[in-house]
Amino acid sequence: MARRILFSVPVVLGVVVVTFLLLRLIPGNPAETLLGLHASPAAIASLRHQLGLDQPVWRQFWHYFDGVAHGNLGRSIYYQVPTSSLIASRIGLTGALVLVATFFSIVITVPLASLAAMRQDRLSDHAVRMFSLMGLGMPSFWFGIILILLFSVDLHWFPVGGYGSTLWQHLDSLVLPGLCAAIGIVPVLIRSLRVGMLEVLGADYVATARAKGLRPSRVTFAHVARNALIPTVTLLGINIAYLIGGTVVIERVFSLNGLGELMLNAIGYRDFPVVQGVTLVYALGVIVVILLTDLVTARLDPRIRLK
Amino acid sequence: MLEVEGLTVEMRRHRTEFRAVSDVSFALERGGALAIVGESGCGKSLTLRAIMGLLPNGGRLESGRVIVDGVVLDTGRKGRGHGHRQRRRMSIVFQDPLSALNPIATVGEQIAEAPRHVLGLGRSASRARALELLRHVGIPDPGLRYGAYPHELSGGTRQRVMIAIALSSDPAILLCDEPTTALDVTIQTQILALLADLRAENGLSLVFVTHDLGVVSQVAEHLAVMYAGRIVETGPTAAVLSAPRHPYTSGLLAAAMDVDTPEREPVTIPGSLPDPLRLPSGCAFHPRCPLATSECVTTDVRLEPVGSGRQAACLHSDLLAAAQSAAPHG
Amino acid sequence: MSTATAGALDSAAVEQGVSRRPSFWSRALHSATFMAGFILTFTIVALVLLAPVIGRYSPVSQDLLHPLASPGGAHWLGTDELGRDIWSRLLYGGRTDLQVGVLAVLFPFGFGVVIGTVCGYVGGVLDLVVMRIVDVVLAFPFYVLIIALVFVVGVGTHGIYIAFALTDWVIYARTTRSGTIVARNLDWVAAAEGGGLSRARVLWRHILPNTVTQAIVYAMSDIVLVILAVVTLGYLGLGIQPPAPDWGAMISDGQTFIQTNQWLAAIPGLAVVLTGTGLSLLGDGLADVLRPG
Repeated sequence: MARRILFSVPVVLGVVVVTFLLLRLIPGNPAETLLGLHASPAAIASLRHQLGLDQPVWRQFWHYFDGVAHGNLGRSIYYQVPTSSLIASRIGLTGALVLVATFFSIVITVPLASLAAMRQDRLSDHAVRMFSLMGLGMPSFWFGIILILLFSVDLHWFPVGGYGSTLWQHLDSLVLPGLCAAIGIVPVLIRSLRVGMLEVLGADYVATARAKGLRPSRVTFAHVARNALIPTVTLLGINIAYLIGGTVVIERVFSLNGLGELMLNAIGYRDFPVVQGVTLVYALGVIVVILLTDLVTARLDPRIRLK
Repeated sequence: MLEVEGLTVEMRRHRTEFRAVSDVSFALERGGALAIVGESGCGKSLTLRAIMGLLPNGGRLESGRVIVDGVVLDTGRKGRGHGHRQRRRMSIVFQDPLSALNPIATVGEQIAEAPRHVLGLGRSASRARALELLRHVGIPDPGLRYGAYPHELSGGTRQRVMIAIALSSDPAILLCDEPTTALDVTIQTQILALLADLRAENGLSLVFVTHDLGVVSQVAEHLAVMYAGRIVETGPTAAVLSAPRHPYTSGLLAAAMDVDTPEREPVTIPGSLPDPLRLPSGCAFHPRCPLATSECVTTDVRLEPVGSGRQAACLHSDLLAAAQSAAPHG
Repeated sequence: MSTATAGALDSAAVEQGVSRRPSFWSRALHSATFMAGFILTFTIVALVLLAPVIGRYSPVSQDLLHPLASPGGAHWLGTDELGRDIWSRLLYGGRTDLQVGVLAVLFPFGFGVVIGTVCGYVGGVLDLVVMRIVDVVLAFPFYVLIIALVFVVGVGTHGIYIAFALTDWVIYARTTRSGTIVARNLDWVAAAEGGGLSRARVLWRHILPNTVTQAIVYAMSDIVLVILAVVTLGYLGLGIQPPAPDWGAMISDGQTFIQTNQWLAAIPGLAVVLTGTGLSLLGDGLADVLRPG
């Protein structure tokens, strides 16, 4: 366990370095590019100073790194408040959205993949595979627009956008967005899990279990399901980064004021510290989630546990 | 005790179907042992699986019956039917214990599973039974081994665990699918000895599938040779090995590396194993058979009696018998 | 395997038959998936390439007298809010999106395969460092990184190419590296090396063909991913800049009129789905055909 955390440290460092380097990738004079053509030299100089561009590179990095370690992610140029406070106020929504999306991903993928695996080569298998193949090419935001059209506008089942104020309203307004974000990874998950399940179903130990004369339900639950859980969790871990990234666009489609919306607005305002800060937070979130899935997998699979 | 009649299995691979097992029949008496020999791909493993009703995905029982103690087993659609209740009289031991054991459950739990959920013993009773079985199959320190996971054990121990699991449902018939192939020679001997002991003590009937001719005389009194999905010769083991009545069997015996006469050149059977999707007409062995005539190509050759308790599927088996009595097999 | 045991029948003693494998094209033609994907993709590509011929209007010319026309009649798929012909915009948009999608994958493919092979073959410090970099890139959610990069280096096709060049190579590198490591541990490769072939030659003739085919199969799904990203960026206004047509921007424009003129937003999305389906079928088919045995 401690080893896994240790291995994440270089990645975390790397992530910090990359986000630091983002500023330097801006072509030309960053402050000038950010402010646009009509900016006054004074404004440019002021921004240069605010961004720390007038200092040597290593001091800039140290300043940045030190800040990150203390939770200081700079100051928003547009809002003139600490970036971290902006992030803190929105991370709850995005986190909730990711949770809802993960929930939907599991709830949709597992039954469909199991169905396809157990009825291999029959109609239901082909149907599931066809749908998931078509889903690979479907933009989740477009799916969102269609969903809004169907459910909110025509049927008035779910809100068209916004987050609401009570817990119930929160959940209600996260259903469609969560579904949309889930659709981003469900096709890939179904395809992979189906293969994983086929492996489990065809495994000799399942034959051994059947040979014992156990009831089919016991074979399914004690042997097939518990073993199939492992690749499911692993797959989820691998794809969660993509899921999280997908929420950025979903937030815009459904007018949700989360981190993604914050980032997109910041891009519009050319608010570099916010873009940088949000990117960093997203990456750190992914690293945490991957560590968690590693933990869960180790708990589930004794072959990994004692390595 | 166990009668198999006309077992025929169709396999589907990549949208083509082929017959992997054709019309396999044999009978096994109580306490008896039968070895089924053949090369990889001859259908011997599938035969066992078909008998157990455990055909893999893509396999289908085309026809045939399995009768245990006079009761015809319901093989259901696709040979997967055996009501789980019917399986209790027979058990199977697979070739690779690492893949045949559930990787995420302890060995003890897996042995105790059948007593607990099939025989209806309580938790402590089934645990006790499991420990007893571990002892019975010769695993030292059963208490410690109970909580071990399959990947933590050695190959030989794992196979003993497999045998323990097979015994846990109190079967009368044990089907073994190449149980010693994946093991070292020394472990092999131990496992074979264990099986012999179990037969003697519990009166178990045994069907033993292998590709290793050297093992059969240690294991079983009766022998069946399979080629391209069919049984081509059966009979008492000693008789078949010393005086084969099918050209394929003599070919196998000649090809077997004889450790005692290393100076002899290895003899091979000319040609190659037939593609199951495109079996030769008539006798499947005719392209490679030194005794083949035009009749062999056109006739659907079946097993015919060729002497006391022996059968061979060859039109010219009497030629073989004659050749053997003229020049002693050496 | 107990070859020393008296009586063992291993394949050395009895010759195994070798079945001849049908050629690539014969297998391809028999694979329903491959053919379906090939036909669908080919049709779409042909349509967009023929845009100047079959698109009946210029994609940017506005006709403010006939905005939001329904499909049918002079404008096959209707017009958008500025009177631009949807069918033509669809075709030209497809042209741009497909072109960018394919081109954006080239550098990641080339660079990723090369660096992955080198890392897998040589190992050592280079391998360690590059794999850490891969981990770092993979820690960022894909869209977050792409959006951030596009923001930083500039929007439009130019930014897209750079963003993908920096991020998309990692999967190629990783899978090629694993494939190379597996391959070089195979007996026959060791034999080739031992037989005096230079390292480069072993790499080129023995290892690369296998890993590259794997990479090509992955590239098909990658192109779908990239097209999706291009379309998404277009939707967000960060991608291909107007007035050049782009499916994403068309969806974004159409969203305003979702209640009254649903097809404005629906049609470009369907185009993306169809393209993705064709490419995915082709990729799956290719994987089927190239799979051994």
